[in-house]
Amino acid sequence: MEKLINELRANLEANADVSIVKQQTWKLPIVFYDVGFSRVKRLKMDVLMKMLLFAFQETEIHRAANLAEFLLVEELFIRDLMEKMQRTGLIQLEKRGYRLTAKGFDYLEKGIFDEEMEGDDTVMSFSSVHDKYALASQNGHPEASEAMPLYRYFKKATLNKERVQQLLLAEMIFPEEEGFQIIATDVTSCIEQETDFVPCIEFQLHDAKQDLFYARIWNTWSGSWDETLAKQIEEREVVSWRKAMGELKK
Amino acid sequence: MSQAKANAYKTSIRMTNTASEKMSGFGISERSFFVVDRPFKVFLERYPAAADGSLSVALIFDRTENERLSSKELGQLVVFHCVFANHRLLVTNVTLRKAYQTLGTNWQREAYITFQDSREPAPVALINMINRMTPAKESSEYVKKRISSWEGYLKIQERGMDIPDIKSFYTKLAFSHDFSRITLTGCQMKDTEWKSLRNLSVRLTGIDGDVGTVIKAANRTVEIELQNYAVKQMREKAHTLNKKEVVFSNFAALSQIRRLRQGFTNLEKGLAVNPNLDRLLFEEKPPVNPLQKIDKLQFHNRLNEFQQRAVSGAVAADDLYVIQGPPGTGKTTVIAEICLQNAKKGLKTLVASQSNLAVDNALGRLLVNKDIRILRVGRTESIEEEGKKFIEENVGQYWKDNTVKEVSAQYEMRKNREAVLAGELAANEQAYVETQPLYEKLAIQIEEKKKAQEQNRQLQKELEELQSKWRSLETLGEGAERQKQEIEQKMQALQETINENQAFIEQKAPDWFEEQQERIMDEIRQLERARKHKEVERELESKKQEISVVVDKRNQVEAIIQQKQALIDEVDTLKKIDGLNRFMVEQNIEETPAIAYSINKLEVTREKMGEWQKLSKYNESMASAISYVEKLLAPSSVDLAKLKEHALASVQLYTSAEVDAFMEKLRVLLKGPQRTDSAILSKALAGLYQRQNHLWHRGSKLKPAETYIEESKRTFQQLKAALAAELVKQQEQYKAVDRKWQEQLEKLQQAMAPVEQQFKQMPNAAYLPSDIEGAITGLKAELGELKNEKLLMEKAQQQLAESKQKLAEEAAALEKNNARIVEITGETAHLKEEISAKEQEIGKLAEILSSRPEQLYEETAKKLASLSFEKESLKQEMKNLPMLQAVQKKWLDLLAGANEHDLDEIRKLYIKHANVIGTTCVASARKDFIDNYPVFDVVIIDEVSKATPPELLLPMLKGKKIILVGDHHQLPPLLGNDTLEETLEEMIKENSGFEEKRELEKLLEESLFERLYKNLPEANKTMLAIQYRMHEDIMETISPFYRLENKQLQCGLQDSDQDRDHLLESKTVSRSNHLMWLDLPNESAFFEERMSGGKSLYNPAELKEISGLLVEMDQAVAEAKQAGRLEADYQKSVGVISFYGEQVKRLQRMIDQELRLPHLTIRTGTVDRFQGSEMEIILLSMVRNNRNPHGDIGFAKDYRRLNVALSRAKQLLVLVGSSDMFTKRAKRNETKQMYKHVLETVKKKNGLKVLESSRG
Repeated sequence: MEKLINELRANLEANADVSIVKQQTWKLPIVFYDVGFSRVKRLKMDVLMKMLLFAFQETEIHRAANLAEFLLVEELFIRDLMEKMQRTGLIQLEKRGYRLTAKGFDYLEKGIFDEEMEGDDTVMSFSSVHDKYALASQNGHPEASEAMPLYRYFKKATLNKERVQQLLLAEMIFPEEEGFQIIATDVTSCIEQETDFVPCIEFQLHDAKQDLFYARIWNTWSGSWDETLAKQIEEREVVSWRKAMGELKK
Repeated sequence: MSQAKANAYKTSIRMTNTASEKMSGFGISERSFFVVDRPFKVFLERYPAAADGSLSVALIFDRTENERLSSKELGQLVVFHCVFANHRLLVTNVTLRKAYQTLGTNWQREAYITFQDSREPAPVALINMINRMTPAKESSEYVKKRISSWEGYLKIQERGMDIPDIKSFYTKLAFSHDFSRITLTGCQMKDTEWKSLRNLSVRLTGIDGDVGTVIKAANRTVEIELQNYAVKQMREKAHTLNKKEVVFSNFAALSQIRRLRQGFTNLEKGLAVNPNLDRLLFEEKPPVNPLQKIDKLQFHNRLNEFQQRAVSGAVAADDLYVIQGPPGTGKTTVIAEICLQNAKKGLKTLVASQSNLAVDNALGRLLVNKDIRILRVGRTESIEEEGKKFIEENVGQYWKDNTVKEVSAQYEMRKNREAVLAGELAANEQAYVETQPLYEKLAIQIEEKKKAQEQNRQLQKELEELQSKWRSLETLGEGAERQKQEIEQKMQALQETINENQAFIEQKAPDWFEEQQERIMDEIRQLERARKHKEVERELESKKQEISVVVDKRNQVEAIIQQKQALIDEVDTLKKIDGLNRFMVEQNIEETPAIAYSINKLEVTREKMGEWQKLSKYNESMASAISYVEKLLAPSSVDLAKLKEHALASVQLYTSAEVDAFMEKLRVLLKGPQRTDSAILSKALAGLYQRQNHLWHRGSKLKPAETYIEESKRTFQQLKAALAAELVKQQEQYKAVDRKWQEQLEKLQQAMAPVEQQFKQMPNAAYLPSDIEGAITGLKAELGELKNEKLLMEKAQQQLAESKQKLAEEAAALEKNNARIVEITGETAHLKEEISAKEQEIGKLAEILSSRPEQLYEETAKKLASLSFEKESLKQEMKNLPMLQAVQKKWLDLLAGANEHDLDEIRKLYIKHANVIGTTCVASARKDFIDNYPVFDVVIIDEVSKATPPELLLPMLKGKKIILVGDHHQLPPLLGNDTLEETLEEMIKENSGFEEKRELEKLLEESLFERLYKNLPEANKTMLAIQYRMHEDIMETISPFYRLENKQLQCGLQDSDQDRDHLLESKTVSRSNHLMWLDLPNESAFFEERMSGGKSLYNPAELKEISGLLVEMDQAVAEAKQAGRLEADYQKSVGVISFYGEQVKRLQRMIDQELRLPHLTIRTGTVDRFQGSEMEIILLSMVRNNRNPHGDIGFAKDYRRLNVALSRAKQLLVLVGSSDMFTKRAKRNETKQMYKHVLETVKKKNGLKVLESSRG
């Protein structure tokens, strides 16, 4: 930790005009959740194609325009896809409109009925200050000591389920098998686990040449200068730092 | 192809030896060449005419034809260089051209040709077509010449560009406080390298892509401004970079310039999609095609008249349309609408602009519409947030989001729809039931009204008839009245006539005329008798005269008779014939037959006597001659007797003349030598005998002379007797005459006797006038007059009678007429009563007639119809509802569960069908872009005035139609970070070459956009003249900049005060203020200052003022929130701008460091950078304030910059600066005027706050 701080100081003081007015460390809470979710195995099929197959099964469709109206989708797209489907023998035009062929039915069956897979779970981190949801990384991070003060602008927030869902959908990637993909679908459980306290090193800086006060916060968890935290602090404190400095000079 | 083939040319072609050799060298066999199964696809490129003026052309064979032409793998294009010699195509050379050269440029024509090995001339159509082409070289030259005026832009940007990459290590990397810049120290470079670093792009080993641009390189440190997209990477990775290596490069800038140059070249080569582009750009009057006729457009955005005009014009234009859009006039809305219109027509549109920001802004404001598929093309990292959703990898998501939004909106709406539908149906039913009776009632009313109308019509008709009758009666009455007057007048006139005649007649008594006539006749008779007396006297006289004449004549005749008697006596005394003749002539005695006979007989007798005497003379000379000749002959033996006998045997007749001639001849003979010649003498003697014989013969016929004398005496006595007889006869004649006269005398004497008698009886009227004739004539005239007078009198009498008759008639007529008048008057009164009765009847109908049940009836009918239609559609909807709901539910589920992969197909479809592509001008010339999107139906370029012509050219090359949107009254293009003017200033400082300066000045003078806007016909341009951004007070400050345009700038806000209420109240600013000027004194305490060593200016006094103002506003917002005028979490957007970069920097620092303004969202920037942005409140720090003698106000003098500065604010604009400096001290008069107008407007709006002393 000391080493890191020194490195950072050196880094900051590389600019001769900049002086470190104040330096402090504090801890930022990151909450971990155990997230359980269901999984399905599903034929890799384009969503619109699937919808079209479904629609042809359910209703009488004579023209692409009808479907475009129902689905609020560009007629062009539907026409293109329908052509493709006709070409590949999934649908054919009959008296009562387009109907699925046997192959089409088969295709729809496969595409529509997801094969339930065994559920799975993972660990997710949530930083309310950043409003950031992330899958927990394997990399370790330094633990903050108990003595460290809590981040002074910390605010607890409740979890947004939808965001969790989005995260899983985007991040949980399973290997594909023969044209089938495995997808995390619904969140089945979300249990709060431990809260990790991540140490952050705060520098309050002054650029003498430009007479600028600003903050740099090293977030050990992300291993980078944290913009969000710096902004939060600057927004609230820079003016008072300047005042203090002015009074000091007086 | 088939069509092209149908139009294929067929031509003979011949080769020069060179061409033939070259051809075989390339492996082209003539046989393959003349195969005619299908024509060759070639591109014709006309060359300038050959030296002899013959038409010259290159045939470039399409790449696909190589296979047919040659067995060899040519890899290049075959070019035939040809001339037309005697109308035949002659190939003079064959060459190869690099295959990558583009075919089908605007200077070339695609054609299909079949070649024939013959000597026929080339087809006229082919020759004509080539003749009509402009030689490619000429076209290129044209472009080259014109485009050279744009060279300057490139030259300026190319300054100091040709440097290789510079690589160096660095020891330290430091971030600026806000991570916007980094500073590198410890670089190892040559001095020349240090000098050339500025503006180079920077790459750091370990970081992807360029991180930024060098803004300063001095004191062995390099300051680099980071690209936005590089900041995040830098924050995360900068401190972990192992290899501290930096590369400075101008590759990006160079490649950009290369693309610009390529644009020039492409235009020269004729590669513009619109073949007319060069002329549109460079001709003084752009030769635009006329607009197409289009139907009235359906607009999808709410557009004002100008916007509608712009859209319609842009849609109808064939090649070029220009839209001038002053600040806040809704240019982007127009662009959005044009894109949508194009999309609906199935056209592909390119939206290009000079900056990524502008492209993204434009795309971001396009309507979310199914027909529009927007694709943002460009380097992902340089695309702004607004445009991100339109990049290739995101369009699937974008599409999904929009579709989900739309479908779920419908779906959600329909969820409650069933209940609503039921309700609506019930309501519909209810409404129908309620409406029905009203409808029926109205129907009855209408029926009644119809009846009333019919009745009314009838009554009106009757009334009309009555009125017409009344009118005709009226006319009759008037006629009668008039007639009465006429009759009375006539009667009066008649009476006058009667009176006159009466008076005239009474002048003479009835028998006066007879008396007068008798008297005159009497006188005439007497006069006539007198006249006869004279006549008798004259007759008597003449008779006496006649008698005396006759007596005279008788006396004369008596004398003649006496004379004749004397003559008779004289005749007897005459002895000689001559005397007798003379007497006859004297007395004029006619030769009677007896006289004539006697005279003739005397004559004959005298002639016989003469002949006899002549013959006896001849006889004597003859006899002597004979005897002479006989004597002469005597000696000769001539027998004379015989000779005589012989000669006399033939009796000959001779004239006297012949005898004379013979004798003469004989005399001559006898005197000559031949007188002895007996023969001749014998002959002569014979002649003499003959002639003597003849004489004798003649003499024998005559009597002897004495007989003749006797006869003469007798005849003379007879003649005298005849003469006397004649005279007696004459005497007798006169005696007869005398007897006649005597008879006449007796007759006359007898005739005179009664006259004498008569005359003796006549009285001698001595009292009569001398001129009796005259008196008679006078009396006769008197008699005539009297007759006339009598006639007149008779006439008068007649007239009198007639007049009296007439008068009686007229009196009768008058009486009759009077009766008629009475009759008419009666009738009229009657009619009047009838009319008023009718009118009353009609009046009773008025109420029903004025009722208006029809409209209500119609409405009700419509309502009923629409109710039943609605019912049907509600029922239909009710029926379809579950199905639709099910389908959409399924669709929503599917979409919700769709991951990236499931959207891949959609993404591909979207990209395939993308119809609005957005990119920057320069990026539109990137290779991959050109490959993917070679042609656009329409190219829209936004913020045109901000782009340089070379930049504009790049997207223009790609469009069939080009729509330019901009405002030349705002700022011109930037070159790098500077405007052209600033660059010019800098170049002057740097002492750059004169040529370049000249070039730059030229560029400054012309803006492509301005020139096109000014020179295009009205139909091809529009100014959007209604602005919706600024409060009208603010707008007023910029109106003068548009004063010279056709349309004046107008404010489209319904109520500026309400729509642009900033809701703030503070010490300085009141609610009613929208335009203010914080006026700083032109005193040293408020003067501008210059950075030590820098060129940019700043103004500390203004900083202080603005600081105070911002604090005040922040408080005012807080108060407004407390007062409930603003939402609690609302942040007022404030732009703090300045003409000077240094001031902006200081403003930003101040805001960041010294102020805490939780209720404001503040953005700072130079005026130039703010172009295109808008804020609720704008504070403009004007900086310039000095007392320098030349009164320079620097950049602030450009009206375009001022225009931009003034037109950013929606609700409140506060100028902070010295008004004296700008309105009085500024150097140029127009500058002063410009600022004076602003100041005057501010004053008018009560916005001037004069600062006596600074705050704080």
